[in-house]
Amino acid sequence: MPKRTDNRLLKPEVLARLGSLELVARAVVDGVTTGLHRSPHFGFSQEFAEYRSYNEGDDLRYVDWNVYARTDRTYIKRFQGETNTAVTLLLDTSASMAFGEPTSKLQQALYLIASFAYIARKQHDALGLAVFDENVKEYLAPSSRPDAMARAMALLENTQATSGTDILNALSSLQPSMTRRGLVVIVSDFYTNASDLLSVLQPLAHAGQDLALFQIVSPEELNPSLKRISALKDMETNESVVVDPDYIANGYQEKFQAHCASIEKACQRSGADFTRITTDDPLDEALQAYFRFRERRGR
Amino acid sequence: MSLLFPAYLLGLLGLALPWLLHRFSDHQPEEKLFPSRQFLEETVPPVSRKQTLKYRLLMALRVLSLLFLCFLFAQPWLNNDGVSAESDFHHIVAVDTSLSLSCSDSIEWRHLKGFLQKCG
Repeated sequence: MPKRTDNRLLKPEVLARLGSLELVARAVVDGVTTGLHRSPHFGFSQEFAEYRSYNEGDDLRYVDWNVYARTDRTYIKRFQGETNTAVTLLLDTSASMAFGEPTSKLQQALYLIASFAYIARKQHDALGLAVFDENVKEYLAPSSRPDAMARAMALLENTQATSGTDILNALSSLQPSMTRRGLVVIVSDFYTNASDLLSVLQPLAHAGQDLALFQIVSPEELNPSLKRISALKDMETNESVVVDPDYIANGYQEKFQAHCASIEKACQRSGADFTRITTDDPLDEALQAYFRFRERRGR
Repeated sequence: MSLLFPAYLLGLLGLALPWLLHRFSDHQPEEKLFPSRQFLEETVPPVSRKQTLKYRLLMALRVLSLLFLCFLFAQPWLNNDGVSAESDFHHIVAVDTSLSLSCSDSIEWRHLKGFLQKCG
């Protein structure tokens, strides 16, 4: 069991005080690595690359025991992801992402994306970034150049939630440019139909992309605190709906949970990892849980 | 019934105020931002008899209190003798009862009686 450390619990409000996204990312990733094993390999690609002889200090979990049984020598299995992989980060900046107090969903998503960008730089992976709402607003192709991180951070710092969302259109238009195999991280609130989402995830999965979807939700969205009949205004369409608190407590929550379950199921069917993060979750804790999940799955 | 200050009745125009307050404020639900209306269902606010009664009673009380205030300022008064407060003529009769006029058969007394009878 990894040792729990004090700096692990980085609440979003604590991160907000750090100011720059790069500092936030560094704090989060340091928190994650402290809590994980001695020499964490985030191993973003599961594709086998080569064998290497075991050296003192290497993680014993990567020793190929079958080879040891046959040859009486210890070899370490190395994966493509440990050497050079492309990490493409996709961020949803639709208007609904501006929801949430005191930390908005977009803010939490930015922290998460920045943390992944920081990890990618630490591992010398090629880093790509796409910002989308109804269309792809900005796209930085995966690059291993030293300024890739700075360019990504500059883009993220100026990101605002503005428009409606069409994740299907955005992913479909990005798909031709994602030719290089690697990790694709999609951060969104996924207000989309699960079957449509599956239809765009499957081609990416078939193309050999390792998909990780992060759904960002606000506690107020999971369990809205309405005390009396109120008009709820859709942040993307500006339409108002008069809603009864009784419906929120029963019908709405049931429907929302069913929607989340259907998104998770679509991810499972396409072989993608699905993680839900709320805006009050300590980000390093959430990331650690995700990396442990990957470790258990053998990636 | 007459009013001493009828101009204050203009204050009755203020009766529109409680009506407007009831019409536009009580029935507008509070508006809040929400990420998506995808899972929301429109609710028709239920109106119970109790709520309706409370609403009407409150409005009636507000209207009546304003009405009462206006009449209070206008200062109405009632004249039981049937003489209007706004009558154009007022008759004041001052009678000298000194000793020189104490004789009831004097010519002055007769003139006075005749005049008072004319006035009714």
